[in-house]
Amino acid sequence: MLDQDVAKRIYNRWVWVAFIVYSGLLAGVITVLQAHPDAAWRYPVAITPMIPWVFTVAAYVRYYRHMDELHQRIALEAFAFAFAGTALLTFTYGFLDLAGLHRISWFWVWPVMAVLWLLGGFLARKRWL
Amino acid sequence: MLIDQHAARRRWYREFSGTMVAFAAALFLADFIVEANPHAGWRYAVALLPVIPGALIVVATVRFHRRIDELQQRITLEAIALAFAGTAVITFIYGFVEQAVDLPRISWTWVWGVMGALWLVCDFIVRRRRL
Repeated sequence: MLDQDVAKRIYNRWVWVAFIVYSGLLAGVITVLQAHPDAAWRYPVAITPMIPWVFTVAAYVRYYRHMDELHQRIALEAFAFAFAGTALLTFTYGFLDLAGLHRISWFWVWPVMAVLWLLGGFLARKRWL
Repeated sequence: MLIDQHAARRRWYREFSGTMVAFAAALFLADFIVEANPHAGWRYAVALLPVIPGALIVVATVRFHRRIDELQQRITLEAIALAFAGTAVITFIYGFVEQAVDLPRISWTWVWGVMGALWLVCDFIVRRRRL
């Protein structure tokens, strides 16, 4: 039986592993795709950098299941904050885009979400701990 | 304090549909004005009009969340967490594939569409599991 701290450590480790593997895969995939812009297999290759994150998400779910009620609540509030913040920010920018600002790729939505998630976690922890 | 769940839900539907109507109206108006004045310096300010009712939708949802009981709160939050993760994966994959190959670049306005749709689906899934 895992306890909360062990589950957290496993999750933290997966964040780093995924980040390193992801960076490597991303660089590799960009090189390969630029060299073969018309290959039929470019779609499956393009999403390979996501594979390590699947393990991170699984580790997070396990960590979540081993949290006590208070930490679960903090985790969920952080997500809710980031969810609402992302919705508002992306659609604010969407309107500026309609008015003529540069159209940003959906690729950059994820970093916005991550930053807001960190901020939401910080605020929720401040409130409950 | 005893909270009437049905009353809370009804109130949310009312606030939610009110803000959605205001949102649709602001969207229509802003689009119309920006289209008519494509080079005006103030068009960015007008384009941001729908953000005000958009923020009110969030406020209405937070108010609803504060009125419901613990189980309902948990269901709502779990659904949002799942939808959050799903949105990150979908937008990332689309953005990456779009940059790597020749797909159209979609405006960020539609990210909210993905989030809303996933939220509905996840709410349904979590509700089935927990109720």
